[in-house]
Amino acid sequence: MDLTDLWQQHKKFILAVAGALLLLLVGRGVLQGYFPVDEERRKAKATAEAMRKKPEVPDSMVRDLQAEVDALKARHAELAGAMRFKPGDDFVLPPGESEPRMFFFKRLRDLQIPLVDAAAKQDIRVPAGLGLKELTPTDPEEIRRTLLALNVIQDVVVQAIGSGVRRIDTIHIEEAQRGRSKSSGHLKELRLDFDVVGGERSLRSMVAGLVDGAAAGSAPYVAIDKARLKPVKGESSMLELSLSISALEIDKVDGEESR
Amino acid sequence: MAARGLGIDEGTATVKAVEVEKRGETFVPVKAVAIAAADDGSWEPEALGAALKQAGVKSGDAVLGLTGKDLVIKYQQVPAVPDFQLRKIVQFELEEIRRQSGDDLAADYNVMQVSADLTSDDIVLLALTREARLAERGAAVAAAKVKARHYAPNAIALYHAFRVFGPATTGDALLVSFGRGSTDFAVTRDGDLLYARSVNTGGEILTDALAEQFNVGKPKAESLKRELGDLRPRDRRSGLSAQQEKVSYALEGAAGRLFSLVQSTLQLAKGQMQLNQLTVAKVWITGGTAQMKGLDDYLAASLGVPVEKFDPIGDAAVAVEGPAQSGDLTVALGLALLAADSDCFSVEVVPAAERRKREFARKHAFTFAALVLVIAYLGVAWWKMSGEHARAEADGRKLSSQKKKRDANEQKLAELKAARSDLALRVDQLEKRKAAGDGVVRALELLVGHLPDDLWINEVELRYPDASGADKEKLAKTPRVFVNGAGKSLGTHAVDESYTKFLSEVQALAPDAEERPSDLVNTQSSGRDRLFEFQLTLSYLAAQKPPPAGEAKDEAPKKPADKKPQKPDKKPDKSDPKADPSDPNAGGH
Repeated sequence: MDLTDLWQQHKKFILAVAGALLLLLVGRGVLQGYFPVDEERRKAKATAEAMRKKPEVPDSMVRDLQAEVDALKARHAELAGAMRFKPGDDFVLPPGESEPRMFFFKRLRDLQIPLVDAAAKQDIRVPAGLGLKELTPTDPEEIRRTLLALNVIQDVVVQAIGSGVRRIDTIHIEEAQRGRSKSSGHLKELRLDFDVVGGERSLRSMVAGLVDGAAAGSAPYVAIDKARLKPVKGESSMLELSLSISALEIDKVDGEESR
Repeated sequence: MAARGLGIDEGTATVKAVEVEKRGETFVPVKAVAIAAADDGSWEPEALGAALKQAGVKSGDAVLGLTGKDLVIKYQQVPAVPDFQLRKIVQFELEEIRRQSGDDLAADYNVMQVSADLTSDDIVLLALTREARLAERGAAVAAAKVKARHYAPNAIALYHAFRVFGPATTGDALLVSFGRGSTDFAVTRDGDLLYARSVNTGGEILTDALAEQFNVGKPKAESLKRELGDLRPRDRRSGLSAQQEKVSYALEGAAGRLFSLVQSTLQLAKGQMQLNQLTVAKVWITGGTAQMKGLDDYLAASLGVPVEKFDPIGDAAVAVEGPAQSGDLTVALGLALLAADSDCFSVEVVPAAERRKREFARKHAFTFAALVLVIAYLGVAWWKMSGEHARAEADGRKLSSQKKKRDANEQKLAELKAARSDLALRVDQLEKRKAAGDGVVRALELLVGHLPDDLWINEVELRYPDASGADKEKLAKTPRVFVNGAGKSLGTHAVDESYTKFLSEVQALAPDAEERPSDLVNTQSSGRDRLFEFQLTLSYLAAQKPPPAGEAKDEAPKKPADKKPQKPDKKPDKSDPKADPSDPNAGGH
């Protein structure tokens, strides 16, 4: 019996089996498409493999680190709260101030002459210009900065008068541009340099007053960045104190507000 | 359930039904029923149904016989071809016959069991009957609550009855079933069917001969035949009455016609089956007419071979319920065997509609079976795969969830490390800025409060010297107070002793004393003109707290590693490069 005979004789059977096989394959394909078991297993295996390769970070490690970060935040909040320069109301440009320059002039007038006069009454010489530039600032940001500087100058001069120093030779406000370059991302600072001459006790009292006054809350905190104390040539018992101090504007960290 | 089958033989005198049942390896007749037919051959289906029910026949369907004028048997010589080709050849032949007859014909065929002597071709037996007749008979048996499974030639049924219940034979044998209106022949060779034939001439010709001879009605003639007829050869008939002699003489002519039928059958068998030789060694007769007295002797004498009656129902001692003798039911028994044993050689004639239905089922059985298997497989696969998929998905979700949590932890850890690093730097910066101012005040307090009279200060300076080492880049500079001083003995004691005493006093300060430095580096030297010079480097940075427990070594952003407060009396070796190399004043004096 050749193939033709075989085909003719068993055509129905062959077609039925072939059709069934085809249907079986198609049906199985459809089922495999509908239930992609292999694909799911492959994905799960890949996930398991990825997990196996990476070491697990235990919850305890995260908790410990979180506690450490919280402690650092708390310490930062504590330090920032104590060290952040809090200007007096008179030295803050009110929001929406339409005439910032006029506001600045008024503050300067209210401060400059009384302060110099008060020093003069104690026989303490203070630079008449209080270290300010000839040209008054015009930019609101510069006005804001100069107001802060005036606040610091007032605190230092008042402290110097109170401590009985002989004179304040120079007052210098650092250029805004230079100050910005030194500032870090979270910390802006306004730096001022003072050259003060006086006796050892008066200068020590002045420095202590600046530091302790802030600690006591009676004056805004100023950071002492540099200090150099040395004898004044030709003036017996007189020392010159070169002091660099900064008013710090410290950014708040997340969560500090609520603390 | 035992295999059983019901055969119904619709004769012109009686309708006979036999049920067989398979017991062990063989079949046995269990029920035999007969009802009388009307003179015109018609019969009451309800009567048959009632008789079957009464006899306790269990089969619901039956094989019905075909004979006489209801059947045409043809033999066709065809080459040995595959089945499908044979089917086509036969179909073609059937179409031709149908076309010529003009009737709707039902037919079936089978290849004869015994090969021809004169040709290598196959001989195909083709059985035909009219569709209308099948419909009529099918309706009749349906009314008797029996379903006609199919119709088969009585001659083939006769052969099977003899095959199962007759004696084993070798060589050629002839089986004859004499009915009233028809006669069926089966020629066997070595027990296999060699030839089958039906003719529409039966024992009725004997009755007709008497009716004609004596000018009586058929019932009377039938009665005379049964009661007075004797077909034994004249030389063996003795003691007959004159009336018996007359009847017997009258029957001899008709009996000759029956003999002729037998002879012609043998001739036809030899011719149609392409046989070299057909030598019948014995003849077996059965049927109603076979009960005619002396018919066996007559045929034996005429044919020159032994003739014997065949009565399987009688031999099996099965009671016949109805107006028939056991010998009448041989064909019905054969039909019952065909019904019970589907492996029997047979032709199965069914109405065309039924055949189409069966053909469809047969042709598409594989398709249906395959379809069912595929559907079943797909159903099981669906069930299994859906379960597996659900499990795989659940595993995947669980793993993804675990991975997400791990990733979240990892990311959180990275964020916290960055935050810690940033905060540590900020805190460090602020701490040092704060320590600077405090340091100046406390250093001045230290010097004013504890420096002896023979020492004096030339300069005090607060500054941030450059850091060194690994922390150089990442940490804020540490503020330190540099004190340059000198001394000269006032005559009471050496100035360096005063200085040592001063350092000792500093060391002796209470740990919480305001003016006590957290770190002190001292250098001293004798200058010009025996002038004692010294330099102190003081740090007032608060001591570092230990890191939190469990902190990984590589995780903690280290705070500046300030020197531990040295003991004031421990003077650093001037040549020691470790003595704060970042301090420009260290070791230079």
